[in-house]
Amino acid sequence: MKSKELSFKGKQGPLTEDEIKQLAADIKRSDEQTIEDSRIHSRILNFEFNY
Amino acid sequence: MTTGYTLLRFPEEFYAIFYDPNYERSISLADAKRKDQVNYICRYLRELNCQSILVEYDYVDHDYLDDYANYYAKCFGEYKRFCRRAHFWRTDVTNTPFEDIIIDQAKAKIDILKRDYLGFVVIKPLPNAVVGRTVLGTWSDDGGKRKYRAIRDYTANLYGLELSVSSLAFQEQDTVLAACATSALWCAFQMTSKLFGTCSPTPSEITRCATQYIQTTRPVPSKGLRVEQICYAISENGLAPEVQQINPDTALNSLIYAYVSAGIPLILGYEIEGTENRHAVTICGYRLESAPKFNHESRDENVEMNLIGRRISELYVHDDNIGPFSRLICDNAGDSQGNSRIFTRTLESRPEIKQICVPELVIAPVYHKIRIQFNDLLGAVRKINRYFKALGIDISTNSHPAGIEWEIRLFDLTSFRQKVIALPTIARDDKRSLLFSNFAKYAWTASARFSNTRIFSFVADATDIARSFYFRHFIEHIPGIRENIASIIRRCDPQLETASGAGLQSAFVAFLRKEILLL
Repeated sequence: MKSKELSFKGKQGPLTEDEIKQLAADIKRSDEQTIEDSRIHSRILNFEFNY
Repeated sequence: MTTGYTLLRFPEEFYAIFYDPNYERSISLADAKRKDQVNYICRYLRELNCQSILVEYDYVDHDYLDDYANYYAKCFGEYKRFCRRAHFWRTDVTNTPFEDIIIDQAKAKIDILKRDYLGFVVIKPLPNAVVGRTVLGTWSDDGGKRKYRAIRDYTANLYGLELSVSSLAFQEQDTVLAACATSALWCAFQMTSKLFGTCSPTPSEITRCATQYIQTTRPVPSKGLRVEQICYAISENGLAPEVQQINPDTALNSLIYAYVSAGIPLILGYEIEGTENRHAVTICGYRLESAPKFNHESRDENVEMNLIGRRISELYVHDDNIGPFSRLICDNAGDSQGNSRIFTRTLESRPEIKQICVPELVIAPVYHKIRIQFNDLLGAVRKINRYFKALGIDISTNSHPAGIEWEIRLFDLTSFRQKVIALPTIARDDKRSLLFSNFAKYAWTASARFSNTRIFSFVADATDIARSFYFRHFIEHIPGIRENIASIIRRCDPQLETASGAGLQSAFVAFLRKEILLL
């Protein structure tokens, strides 16, 4: 694949206020998801692997 | 004491290697033929084109000897101290003057014995759990799609003849000193001993370490291990147990890829649907398809990224109910969204039944300096991905509607530098910077790919702290891609106010300035 085919077009100008707000909301949601991903519920500590 | 060896033909005389007519506690021939693990190994060896077997008698196996000393020697009934070890070749060696070859060091014939060696199985002198340390070469790579990453080199010394095979040792649980979790840990420690220089403890030592602080029932005979006990066993072996609970939003296949591609085996704990049984296996490989097999890894589309895990269709696991490198097939279980949620496995004795395995947790036994976890990195990459997408730094075509695919994986520094040297796509100046600047012992990389071509990568310090910005380098794999991205940032976010205003860390903004805008 030629490198030219893999160049990014990008937006043509600065993001609008709404777009920035949306990006901020997405990033906040990402942070929350990372915390959720790392959570370990105490109930799993009692799981016994015995089969 | 009986000494010596016997040469046998495969498959005709395969089951005979398990039965000892002179030992009253030996497994019977009929029981050996009914045993799932034995039948799996038979099928496995057929696949490897096995032709012949050499059985060594009175073999001293380190792991079994420790189990023997800790339990079997103290039984009133008599158990044997010695094992047998069966070696396998893909050529017929049954008519070979074996002793003459060894004594005369007949080079051409020795080379054939080395070249066609498939590995060995230690047969324990127990009534049922006969499959001891098993080191067999892997299944074929099926055109490069099957990736067996958590394997290492093993050497077998057979009467002075050094035979080697790349594998990961397997053994079945005896439910006396080892249950499934102990066996899974034993397999994993075989690999971590090579990666991190730690010990490879025997099953008896693992059970002792796991149960020294928490006992909910008697530790021996061992019926199973709880999560905390597994963690203790890992800690006692000088490693850090990284526990990841699996929920519907966990990018499980990508998490598995991140560690296993670095050679780190993972303990996967799952529940067998329709039963109350929980089972633990060791993941040592995966099958990577050329196109995504699943639409999503996560249930939540708001946090969804196009990750490499969507291309993983099978896992290769040491499952002590089945055998080494057995398949866990990724399945969407009728999920209308096409998400990968469960695995299925098939026992040798019931090939018509697919057992549904619902994953509950993954435990990574890692070197203590690997502090940044997959989830930390995924979170950081998710934010970069959001910012880039907002600026239109993405590719989406009819054939690749999801656009850029992210590949997140761990490296030790040596492997990382070897990869940098080997990759022709990295510019000479970038290579100089990556190879000759000091860096941490372990690195995470997040590579943006499109249609199997790497476009750019971020390199992170895996020994840093989670609440920092741990990316250190940007690598361009396509000439001019850095300037391409920089020009979009200059056009759309010239003062990087969008990045800061949207809540990205100031350290990320500084990174963009230094590594991409080259300011």
